[in-house]
Amino acid sequence: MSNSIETDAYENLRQELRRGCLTLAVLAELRTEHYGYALRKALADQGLEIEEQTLYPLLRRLESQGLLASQWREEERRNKRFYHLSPEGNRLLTRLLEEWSSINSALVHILDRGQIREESPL
Amino acid sequence: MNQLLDRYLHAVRSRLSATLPEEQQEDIVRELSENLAAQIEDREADLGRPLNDAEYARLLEDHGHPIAVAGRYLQLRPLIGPQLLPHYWFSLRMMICVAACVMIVVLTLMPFIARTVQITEGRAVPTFMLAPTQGITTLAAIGTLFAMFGMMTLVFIVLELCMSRFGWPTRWNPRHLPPVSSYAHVYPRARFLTELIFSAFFAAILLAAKHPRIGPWQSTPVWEQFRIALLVITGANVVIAAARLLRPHRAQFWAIARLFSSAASLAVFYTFAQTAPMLMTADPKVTTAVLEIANRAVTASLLLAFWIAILDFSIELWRLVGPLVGRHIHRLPSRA
Repeated sequence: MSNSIETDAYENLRQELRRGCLTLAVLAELRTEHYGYALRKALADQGLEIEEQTLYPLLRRLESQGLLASQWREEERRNKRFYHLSPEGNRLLTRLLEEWSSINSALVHILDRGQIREESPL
Repeated sequence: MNQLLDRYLHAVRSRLSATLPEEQQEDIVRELSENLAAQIEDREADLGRPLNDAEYARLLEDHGHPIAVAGRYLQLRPLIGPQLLPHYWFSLRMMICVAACVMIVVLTLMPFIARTVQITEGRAVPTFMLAPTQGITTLAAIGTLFAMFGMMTLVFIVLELCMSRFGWPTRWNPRHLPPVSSYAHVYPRARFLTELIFSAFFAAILLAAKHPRIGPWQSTPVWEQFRIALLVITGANVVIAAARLLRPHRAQFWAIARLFSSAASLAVFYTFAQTAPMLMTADPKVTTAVLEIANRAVTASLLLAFWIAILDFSIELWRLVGPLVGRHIHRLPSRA
């Protein structure tokens, strides 16, 4: 496999992997109210960088699905749109976190077994 | 507000205006404006001074091109989805081939039929029917191709809408699937075999058609040149199809060779459509006008063959570069 094909494949798979994780992170972070830019900073501070052009449309999509609620409010002499998790979003987040937890533990198990096999090939 | 920021937000909004309602556009741009303003304030606080124009430009550049930013807000879906797309391409190719064949027959026979009607019924017949010019033939070919393309696309868009409205069937019976032999057409070797048979058959016809004489008609020396040129290309096609069938591991080399043969046939059809007539007659009953009509019909057929050759060339070119383009498309960042 050439280097560029490998990089393409990596980039595509990385994007796929991130897509669901970002949604989960956004929903989880919005248990506390944030406006767009502050949410982006909060996620970045915790090690999860997300582009503006990904985050803002994502917030709108989640809101249109009823998982987030928003309101325009003045803060520091500026009007900002604050988002927070709706009750429906909260219920969904609980279920998604259970799913995430189950996938994660399965993956850890698979990776551990792989490591044991590598360490003792015979 | 900085002028650059103002222009940036306007650019985003103009891209949203085609598909989103006014209120939603306003809301999106307002939110973007506030988020960017907060980001700018943060940056200025870090620097301890206002941003200059270059820094503003850099910040907006990092934020993304207005087309890309607006695009993320649009919930667009393809007119023809991935489930229907393979059927669409197949149907399109089939329909265009059939339409091209029908056009060749119609345009070849039209002058003779028009002349017969004129003589037997004494009716006035439009000149373009008696002697279709190159312009008329080209226009008819392009018009037909576009009409076929439009109709077929419309049918599939309606199908896609129905499928997305009512959904694909969730319950189905695997026993109702056709037998494996029905899928033979998707196997490329079947295509090469078909090409081999057709090319060999066509080469045999060309070999036999030396100085043909049918009724009052006989060929001119131009026909002989045309026949030899076409025979060389068809012979090359026989070799290429056989090689692709028997030596599939050098696929790319033979695909390029096939592209060259397709380009050569394109050049031959175009060149001979422009050169001297291919038909002549020694029969005194055939008037000069009728001979001219017959030769124009042959020219019209050559021009149509030229358009079919263009189609064949485009298909071969797409088969060759399509996978590379596909790879490039996959490289583009997808939505996170």
